[in-house]
Amino acid sequence: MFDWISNTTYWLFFSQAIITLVVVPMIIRNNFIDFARRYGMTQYPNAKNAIEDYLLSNIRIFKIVAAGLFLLSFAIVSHAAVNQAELFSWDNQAGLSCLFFIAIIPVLVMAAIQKRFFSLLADYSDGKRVATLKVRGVRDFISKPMILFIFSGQFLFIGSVFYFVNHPFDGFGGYLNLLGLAFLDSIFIITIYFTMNNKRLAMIKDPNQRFVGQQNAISVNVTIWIVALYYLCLTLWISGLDLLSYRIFMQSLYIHLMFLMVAFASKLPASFYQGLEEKR
Amino acid sequence: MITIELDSPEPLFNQLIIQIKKAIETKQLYAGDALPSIRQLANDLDINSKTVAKAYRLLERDKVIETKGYRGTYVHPNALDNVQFNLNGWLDSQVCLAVNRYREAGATDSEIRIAFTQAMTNTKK
Repeated sequence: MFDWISNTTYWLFFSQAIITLVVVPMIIRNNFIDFARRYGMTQYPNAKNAIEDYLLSNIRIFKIVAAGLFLLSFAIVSHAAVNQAELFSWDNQAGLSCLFFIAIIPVLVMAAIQKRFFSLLADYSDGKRVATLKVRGVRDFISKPMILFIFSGQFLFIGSVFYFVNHPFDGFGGYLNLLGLAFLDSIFIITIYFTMNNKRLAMIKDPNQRFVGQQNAISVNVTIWIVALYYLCLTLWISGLDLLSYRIFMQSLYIHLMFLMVAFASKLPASFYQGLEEKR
Repeated sequence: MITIELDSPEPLFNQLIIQIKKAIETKQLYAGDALPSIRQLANDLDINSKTVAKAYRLLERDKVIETKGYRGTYVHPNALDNVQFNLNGWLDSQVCLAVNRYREAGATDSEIRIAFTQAMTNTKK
């Protein structure tokens, strides 16, 4: 009988390598260039040449890193597919985590490039800093439905853990899952906190634009958090219902989705650039 | 909106005080309005939070703003009247009056300085 799950899994791994290490890096690279040119060059005209030089050298490094990692991932998946073996001739689950960590490297490289870009803008800053006297709280960044989704996701996961404590399956970690949930929540809360209190954004001169940028980043973070919560619930139920072959499938799809969300989040909304074109 | 200039000879905390007072005078801020937290303002302006804390402390002393514990910082109910009051100017005029009185009584400048220094030391908080 044709094992469509195993065969689809390899195609999914190939797709994951292409999406996370070709498509996503291309999108975040283009979005960064777009931001650097549209914002940097209009707001910091004296830094025009420095920005072009910066883009030229750093984007080349970024492309080399992404291409190298793509070839590595592609080789890993090809080796598994040709030999009809699991990833790294080891374990698909662990292999998928390795592919995830490989794919995250270009995102981190881009974050470092952006951080240094803001430092570059600071060197060309006119020394004026603007801030709003309006109070900003978490509620300004996270909408009510999102908060509702986060809480319902938490309850769903905790409820699932309690259910499976009474109806355990092989490999179920019991209450340790709650520790995992606390860890996941902490990571997202810390990320949101640092996005809200990011001093680098002071280089974005207009406080309203700064707010739009922060809001965009936080919305995506929260969306990824929500998806992660429901994904964890789903994996618990997939394992609990003994549908393990679907687990790899789901995990890969989740990684696809997460990276695509990060990529699209790197594009600032049109409202961010409003008014800039006239200044050019 | 408040704008500070890093290259200005005016200290940053003073620029903040002037801008917040101006916002109250020009009715951008009203009595009871919430003010951003020290952290928010420090991050937005990319300056040390101690600078913002100092500005807030002095504004609170002048009864321009008031801190309500964990609930945050608000514009003082009498802020509009209090922003007009210039504590440093008042202090200067009071000291001038006192110094003139001492001179009229025959005290020399050096005696006045010593007396002021001693008074400052003896009345230290």
